[in-house]
Amino acid sequence: MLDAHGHGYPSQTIKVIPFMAELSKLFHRPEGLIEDPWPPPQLVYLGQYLDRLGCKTVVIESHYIDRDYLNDFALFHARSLRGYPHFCQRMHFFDTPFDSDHFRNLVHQGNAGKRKESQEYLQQGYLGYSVVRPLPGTPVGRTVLATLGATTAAGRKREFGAVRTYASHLAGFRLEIQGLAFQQQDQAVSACATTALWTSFHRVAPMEGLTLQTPAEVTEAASRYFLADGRALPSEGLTIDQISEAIRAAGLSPLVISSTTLIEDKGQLLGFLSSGLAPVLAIKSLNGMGHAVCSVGVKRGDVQPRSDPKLHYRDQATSVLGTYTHDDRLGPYAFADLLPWTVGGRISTALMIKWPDKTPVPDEIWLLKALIVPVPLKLRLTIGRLRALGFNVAEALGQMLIEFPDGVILNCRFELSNSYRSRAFDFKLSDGGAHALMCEVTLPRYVGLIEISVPDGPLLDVLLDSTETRANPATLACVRRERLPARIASQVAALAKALGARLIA
Amino acid sequence: MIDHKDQPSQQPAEAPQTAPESNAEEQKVREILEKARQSVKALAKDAIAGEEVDTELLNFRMRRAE
Repeated sequence: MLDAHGHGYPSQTIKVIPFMAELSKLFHRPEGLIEDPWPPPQLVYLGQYLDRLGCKTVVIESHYIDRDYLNDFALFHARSLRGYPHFCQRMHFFDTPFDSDHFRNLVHQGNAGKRKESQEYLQQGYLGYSVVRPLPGTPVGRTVLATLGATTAAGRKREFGAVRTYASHLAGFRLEIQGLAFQQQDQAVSACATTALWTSFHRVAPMEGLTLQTPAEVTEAASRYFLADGRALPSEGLTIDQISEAIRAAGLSPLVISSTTLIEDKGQLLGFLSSGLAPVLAIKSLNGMGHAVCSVGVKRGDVQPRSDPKLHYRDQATSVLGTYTHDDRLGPYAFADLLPWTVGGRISTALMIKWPDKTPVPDEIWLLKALIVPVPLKLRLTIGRLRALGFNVAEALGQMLIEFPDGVILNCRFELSNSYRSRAFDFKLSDGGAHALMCEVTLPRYVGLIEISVPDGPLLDVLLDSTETRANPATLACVRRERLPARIASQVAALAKALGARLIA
Repeated sequence: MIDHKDQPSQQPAEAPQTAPESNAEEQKVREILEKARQSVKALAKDAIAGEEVDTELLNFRMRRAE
């Protein structure tokens, strides 16, 4: 009699266990593993990070079909001798302590007409989830976790501009989490660049109504035309050219910005992240090894004083202290200090990536080579060109506003015009101004936004047509904001006219 | 009635300001803008310098990190 392989349906169990910071204790050490360390750094990192979030409880689903893994399985693992299953497990994390009995009661309560109450209880403590792949040594699949709070203990701001809402379903309850997907490279269908790009797509693709690509699809698209180094799978890493090809294949446009100066690199990072776009950072170790991480947020301090006392504005980019990155060697939201580093007589931008307990990764300084940003096809204006025009406008406005001796503050980014218009209802515009902005001015899907402010609040927004390549002349409107002194109204009207823009006040 | 045009209409223009004081204000602002342009010229150049990308950079490979 032959064995009846695959005739039955899988069973599902849901376990509830207390969280332990040594998360790797939940995992079996792969048999025969001697080359790679166990536990892998990603599991150690996740344990540390969840501990920092205050995790108390883990709920484990024993059978979970993951779209990304299923695609990787079909393309690669299905052809292996080892009998990899096509399904994963999934862990859900909560900062509320509860046990199996309590969880069972939540289900019973839901069945007794109180589904909303049970769901709210779970939602209040929800920290996110992590898919566990059946791959020995590389178990960390799609993982979406909450970010750290908006303020650090030292009063610095954490801004995660590239996160979005994810929904998950556990035992019939719909749970939501704000984050951005992370996963460990599996060293088969994906390398660091693949996973960094996959993370970046997770933010921009839903914005544009595009289908999310799986890591295997990213690697295939990247290797379609450029295979200088041989086979596509297992992946031996990607070049920036290949990443650009994968971005084009995803229906987006690859914007490659080479690293120039620390302040400009900070300006680019801040600009893209506050526009909701997650840049892939191409970085190089001091011994020449290339690596890629995805930037998902920034840590900001105070805006620095003007470096040139002759200028009348300050650059918001000077407040950037570092960036939160998804580094597939470590985990999600790994903080990296941004600092100047002299190599060969040239000052470069360097990243020092840290563990959640703030320990720097030993002996590691990474030099920033480039930012690669998948942008919507119609977004042709760049942050650099926005900034270049912004310097002119901020300096001119700063000269007009002598009552602000520290200078006005400049920030540049993109925003969906619908979002801008929604916000503008709170700008305290005149009825005529509000009508003009809402009903009369034609705006592209994304507006280029030059924001001039003082610490007390905003002064002026300059809206640009982001479908143009050049920032000037492409100004559509200048929008008066709450803190703009009335005494310079006529000068601002003249400024708008000089820019070829409509003044909205 | 919906307009059917090949090209979208121009944004409504502001009423022309012909008063002498307006012209003086416009001239003053143009001078401020020119002064600003001179002051930030080098910084503006730096802002777009990163858009120049060479073949060496495009061939930069990000391998699996150990």
